[in-house]
Amino acid sequence: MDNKQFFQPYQDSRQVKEIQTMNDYSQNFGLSLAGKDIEVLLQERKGILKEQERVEFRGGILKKLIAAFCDSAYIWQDNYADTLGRLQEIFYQYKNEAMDDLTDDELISYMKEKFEGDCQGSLDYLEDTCLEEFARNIRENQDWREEYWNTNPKN
Amino acid sequence: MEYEPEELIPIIADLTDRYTGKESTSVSLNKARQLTQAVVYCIREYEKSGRGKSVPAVKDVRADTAYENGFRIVLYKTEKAQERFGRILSGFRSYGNIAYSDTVEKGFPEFFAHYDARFEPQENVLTLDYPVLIRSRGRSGIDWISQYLFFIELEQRFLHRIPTDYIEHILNGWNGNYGELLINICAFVYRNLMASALINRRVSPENYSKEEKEELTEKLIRLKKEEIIQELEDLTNRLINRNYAEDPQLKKYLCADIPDFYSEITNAVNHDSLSAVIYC
Repeated sequence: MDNKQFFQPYQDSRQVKEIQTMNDYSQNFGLSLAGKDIEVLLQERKGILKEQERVEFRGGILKKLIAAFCDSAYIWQDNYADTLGRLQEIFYQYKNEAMDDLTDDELISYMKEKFEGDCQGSLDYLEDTCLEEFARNIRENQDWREEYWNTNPKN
Repeated sequence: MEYEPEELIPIIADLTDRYTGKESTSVSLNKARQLTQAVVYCIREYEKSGRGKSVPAVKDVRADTAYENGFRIVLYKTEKAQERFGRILSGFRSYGNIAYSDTVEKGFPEFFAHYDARFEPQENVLTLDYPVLIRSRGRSGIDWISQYLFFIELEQRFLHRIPTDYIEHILNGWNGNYGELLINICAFVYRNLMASALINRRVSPENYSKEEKEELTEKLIRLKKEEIIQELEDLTNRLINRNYAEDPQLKKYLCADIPDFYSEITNAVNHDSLSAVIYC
């Protein structure tokens, strides 16, 4: 086995284990991912990164998405893996749409708030309406941070 | 470059983390490409620094060490280039040429204000509109900027020994719009000195007489290319030895113009347009 072949499976198996550790936390909300689900999500991630022309050197965004969304009122065990897959796709898409002017935490925080609020769990509405408008504001250079945090009920 | 991609990926990953402040797990492909080029650029700087010196060969050091050493070289070169720029600026004369003045007096302060040695060391930042006599030949970033400034310093050293009035007079006589042209001032002055020397004409702000033009034309037609080039090299040697303390670097820099000068002046002679190349 040459170095390149060795490198990839090592990365993948390490990432599967890292994501599996998130089950300890998500099980508090009745959610967990099987090893096969994780492998599918990681495989999808590769395809999304390629499609969105993005590069990721270390672990992906799944752990953060799980931590943020596992307490959602609109996610249950049956739609958990599929929802994470869509969230992952939407996340990378809007990192590009927002021209990298957002940190991961900022984007996830906005996605979560809209998903639970205006979208009422609709991923289509989140992707096509809320985030579209959000990204447009960023591209038009509006001070979205000020606007966003001033209207955030938690602050 | 003697490293495998697997050795470079952790360095690029660290640089990406530093770039994003660890606040983003991913970057766009363009940004990743730029950061990869930054790593490769620094390693190459280290690699180049080892040629003929007692620096360990690249293959003998780890990739991350080569990168960090290369990065320090980039910083060192930037500091030295800044010092050189300060020296140039203190006596800089553009002789009324806008590209010369814009590139040096406006461009370089911007360059030093914006050059990003960590994330984009391979970028020139500047367009460097003023053309120097030796091309970049694939050099980029601070490596090319340092070299470019070195050439500007040589040019200024050459031009400062010649009265400004004379330089501006022959430039203006040659083309009233010279200030707006993308020309090399040093080469123009050098070519005029060489043309005069070829026919033993005293350097003068006056136009050539009809006989002087004919003598120069006849000589350029009569002699073979190698003979003219040899004579121009000999004249350059004499010029440098007498007036510039035998400066070998200035000699090399001016001689780099000889092939172009030969082509242009013989072409001008063939088309009866000597005044397109020199003030005559």
